[in-house]
Amino acid sequence: MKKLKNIIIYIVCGVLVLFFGVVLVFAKNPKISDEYRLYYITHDLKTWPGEGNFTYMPGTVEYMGKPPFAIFKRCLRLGSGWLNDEFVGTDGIINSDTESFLYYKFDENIKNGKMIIDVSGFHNPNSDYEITERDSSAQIAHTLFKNASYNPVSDRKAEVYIKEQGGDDVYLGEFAGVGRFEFKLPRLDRGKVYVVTLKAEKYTYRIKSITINN
Amino acid sequence: MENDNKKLFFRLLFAFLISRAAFVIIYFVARAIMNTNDSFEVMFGRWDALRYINLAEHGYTLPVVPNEPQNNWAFFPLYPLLCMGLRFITFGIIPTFYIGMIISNVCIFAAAFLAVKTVRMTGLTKNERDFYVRPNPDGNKVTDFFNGIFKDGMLIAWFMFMGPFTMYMGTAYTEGTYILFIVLSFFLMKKRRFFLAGLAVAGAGATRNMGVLLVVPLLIEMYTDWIHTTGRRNIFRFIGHIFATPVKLLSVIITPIGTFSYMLFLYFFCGDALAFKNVQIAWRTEEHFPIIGVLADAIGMKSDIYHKLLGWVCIGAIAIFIYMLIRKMYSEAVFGGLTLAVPLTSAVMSTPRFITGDYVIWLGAYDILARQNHVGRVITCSAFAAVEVVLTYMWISGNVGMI
Repeated sequence: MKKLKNIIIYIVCGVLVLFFGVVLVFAKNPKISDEYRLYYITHDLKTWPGEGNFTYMPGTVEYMGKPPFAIFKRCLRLGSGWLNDEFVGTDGIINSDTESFLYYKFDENIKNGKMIIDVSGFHNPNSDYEITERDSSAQIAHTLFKNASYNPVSDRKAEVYIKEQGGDDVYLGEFAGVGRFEFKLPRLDRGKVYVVTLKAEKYTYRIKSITINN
Repeated sequence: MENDNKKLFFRLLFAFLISRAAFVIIYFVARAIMNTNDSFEVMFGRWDALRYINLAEHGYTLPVVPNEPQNNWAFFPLYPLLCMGLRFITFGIIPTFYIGMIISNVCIFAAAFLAVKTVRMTGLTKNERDFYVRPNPDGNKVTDFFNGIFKDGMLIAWFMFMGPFTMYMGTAYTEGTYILFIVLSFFLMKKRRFFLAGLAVAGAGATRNMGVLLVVPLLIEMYTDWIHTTGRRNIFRFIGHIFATPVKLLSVIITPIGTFSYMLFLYFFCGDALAFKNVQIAWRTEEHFPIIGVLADAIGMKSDIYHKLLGWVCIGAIAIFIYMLIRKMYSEAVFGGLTLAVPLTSAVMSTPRFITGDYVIWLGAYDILARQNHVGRVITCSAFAAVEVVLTYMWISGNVGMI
């Protein structure tokens, strides 16, 4: 009787271990959306777009700061390199690092696409000041932008790149001041995640909106 | 024995009612100071309590809202299920917040009862220095009742009812239920009822994500029991013994069943079995070197007073856990250290709640205080109560630092 009881207990232990194993396999292979993965698992996205709201529809004007009216769409595909929300107004968002990222997924193939970046501010910061990792957003916003001295040196620029996630950067162009700038896009496939990188060594810019047309 | 349990029950009831009366008084005082007519539910049902109430009423939801990434999947299901069950039994007559409060308060009362029993069973009460007792030559029952109101382990119950940050155990939070499972598991471990202890650990694991860590003290208690019965110390022989003893093996294996069951539910619900862990990013956004870096940053020059305070509370807790190790309360100290180490891998936010909600810190505090003289105990306990009054007021008034 005791032997039978022990056998039953061992069988129960085996079943439990099997159950745990199956759940661990499920945990290793989640069935999740791109936005969930980018925000909750890889932490690439710093803003949560909402389940099902990550896919970009060409032609949509996405406001980088707080939209002027509630019906306008706010860009919720920011990666790292942007100021925190508390320092963002309706005139756009300022970069907080030398590289700033945006993530896109499209609901159609982009064949002859253009990216239009509406730049509402561009400054050369005080040349003595370098952005460091320990700078708070408040310091960056105050020092780099509010107190920046305008220095029209000829080599000021911010470069724009795009790549499929995991791939190599493709150079799109650069902007060097305030205005609307158009960048021709390579072919972009529907359903894939793309990363737009803006690179600016020691320069800060403020972007009001970004639109991608097909 | 039955008489002892009855005396303990009524002494605990007295302490419990005093503590809850204090909450009610603080509520009215806060209302007067803040010049508000907010109800008890509004003032005591804050932050996570609202999530638990929502869970009890509507269950888990998908995160479709762009501006609300803090999903309710981080909250384990057993406590909301208990609330749902009591709502169902009472036909929904009682508001959900009060359902949650009833469950929390019943659980913390039961936990305090078991905690005192555990302290007595393990002999910690032998370290108590003399308490003041009123002479009672006639054997007056009332005098006898009040003479024992702080003695023989009762201090730990007072801590659990009125110690700092214990307001969480009286409102619609999981702390009360979680502590009950922790105390129950330690109680059963000390009685060498390891299978039942394993089931209690499973219950803790279904209440909070760190409940499953109770498997470590379970193994420590099994090991110390094995040393006493066999005289052996070899870890590998001990592991062999576990595998050769089916009931003990099952006691260990069954411990994560609560956690894994929730993981299975999450996989089918949202596609991510680890969602309860992954959604934590919505709350914890700082990045530091784990534990040491987090603590150093909290108490550092650039930190604000709030984070400094939290950092020093964590350091104080670590000191108590080290004291408990020295006092040979190995399983309790290790559990306390583990459950503090996990949140300290990211931030100090909410750590006082986690520390007090893991029960073992009160054991350490009890052991320290029981050895003090009467004056020391009175001063310390009065200080604890005063701090709790202030913290409860801060909680009621909606101070964000109390999250």
